[in-house]
Order: sequence, then structure tokens, then C-alpha cells
Amino acid sequence: MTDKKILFVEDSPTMRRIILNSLNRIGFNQVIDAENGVDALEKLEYEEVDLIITDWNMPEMDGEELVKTLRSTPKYKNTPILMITTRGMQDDVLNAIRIGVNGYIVKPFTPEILNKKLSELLS
Amino acid sequence: MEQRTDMSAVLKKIEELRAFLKFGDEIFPFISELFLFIQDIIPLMVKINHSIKDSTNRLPTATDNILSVSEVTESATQRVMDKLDVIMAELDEFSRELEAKPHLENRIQRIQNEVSEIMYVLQFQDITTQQLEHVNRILQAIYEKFTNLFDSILGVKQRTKVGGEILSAMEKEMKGTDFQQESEQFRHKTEDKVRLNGISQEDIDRLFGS
Repeated sequence: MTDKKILFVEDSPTMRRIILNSLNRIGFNQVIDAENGVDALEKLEYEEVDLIITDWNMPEMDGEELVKTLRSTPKYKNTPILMITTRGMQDDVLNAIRIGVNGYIVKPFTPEILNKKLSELLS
Repeated sequence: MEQRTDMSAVLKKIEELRAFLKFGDEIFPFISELFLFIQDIIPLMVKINHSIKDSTNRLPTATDNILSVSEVTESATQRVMDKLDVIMAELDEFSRELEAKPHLENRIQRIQNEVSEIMYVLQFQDITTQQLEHVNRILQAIYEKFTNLFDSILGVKQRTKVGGEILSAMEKEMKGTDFQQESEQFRHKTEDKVRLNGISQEDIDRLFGS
């Protein structure tokens, strides 16, 4: 069990349940979810989080725009961001690194990979 | 064959134009080529126009079907997840009750892992939905392109008399040409074979009963 708080941003209800379930099983019980970038920014106005997990392709505000916005906000300049996405081309990964993403997982993922990445980013 | 007469009238006008003008030696071969080109291209355009209209009419149905697939798979996946959540909760409870029996607890853990793996496999739903959405966006873009193209054709028709006459002649040619066989083949190839929600089981039973 960990006291770290995680926000995950994902538009697919299926993926939201999978990620929430995984995080709970890994030991994260303080988890907030958001449906897209706009929703995430609204929730971050009154929530402090230790790590953000975000999808890339989302309506309204996608993951790329969300990361750019967060990185330009002093409060979230250094918060670890893990991207979980269907975008699996090298260009996508390079772009994610360029905008300030700290970890990257291509769907479909396994609980072991998620656990490993979270440990790396929160250590 | 009134349609043929209209088409011939357009071509005849171009020929009259050619005869009427005193062409220089240099321009004449070019105009002759142009004339032959128009003569060849019009029947071809009539055919293409028909095929494109046929295909374009099918696009909204195809995009609707793709949307429906995404909705159905999402709903089914959620139902599977509901059941998996219930199983997981039961196993957690069972595991707590069996704390004193490690061998049984290990078995429960293995079952929990299997259930968890099923949960992860369900990621396919999000992935396939995103792939289908991509296909849908392409189909919608094609549909918009073609509808814009048809609008432009209307514009051409209205802007110049010659354009109007050529396009009217083409339309009449299309009406006069027997595309039925081609249309049948196209319909067969693009037929929607998953025809859900068309009739209820009660209606089917009623039909069998009558």
C-alpha cells in the first residue's frame, strides 16, 4: 500500500476500469480519474497529485496538449507523467519525450510493465 | 434516343466551333486533340460519376455501422468487466476466509491472476475502437470530399452556358445508359450482411405463425 496519489486521464471507460483495477491491485488507493485533458486540468485545480498517467488520443484536449499545458505550469513542471497509448511509432515516443513525458507504455500493456514504470517514476 | 441527341448536340457544337474558326496551323492540332479528348472523356465521366454517386450513397451507412460496432463492443466489454469484478470480490472474500489454509489460498491467488489477465485482455476493445474510429474519420472525409465535388459540379453547371450544357447532357446520358448490371454488381459487393435490429423475435415468430 502506498500513500502516493495518482491522477489518470483516459477517455475509454474500458481502459479506465482496467487502469483503476490495476492501480488498486498494485497498492495505489488514492486514485483520481479524468476523461480528457480539460477534465484533468479542472481536477488538478483542487487536487495535489504525485504522478499523472495519461492517454494520448482523447476528445476535447488530448494527452499531448495536456502535457504541454502541465509542463508550462510551475506547479506541475516536475510531476512525473506516464503516457499509456496506442501510438507505438518511434516518432510518437520521441515527441512524447520532447514535450516532457517521463515514461511511455504502448497498449496493450501488462500489470508487470505498469508496476515497473510506476516504481521507476516514483522512486 | 433523346439523350444521345443531347450528347451529340454538345459534341456537334464543338465541331461547329472548330469549323467556324479560322485556326492557324499551330493551334489546329491542339484543338483537334482537345476535341478528341472531350469526345472520349465525356462517356468516361458519365460512368465515373455514376460509380462515385453509388459509392458515396453507401458511405453514411458504413460509418453508422462502424459506430455501432464500437458501441456494442464497449457495452459487451463493460458487462464482462462487471462479472469479473464480482468474481474478484468473491475471491477476495474467499481468500480472507481461507487465510489459515495456505494451499487453498495459493489456488485462489492463481484464479485471481487468471481473472486479472482476462481484464487486461479486454484492452483490445479500446484498441479496436480507436482503429475503427480512424477508418470512420477517413470514410467521413471521403464522403465530404465527394459531396463537395458534387456541389462544385453544380457550380460549374450554373457558371457557364457551355459547362451547363455539357453537364446536362452528361446527366441525360446517365439516365439513358443502362447501369443496372454494374449497379447490381456494386450492390452485391458492398451489401451490408450484418443487418441487426431490423426485426424483433416477436415479429419473426409472428411471421412464422402466420
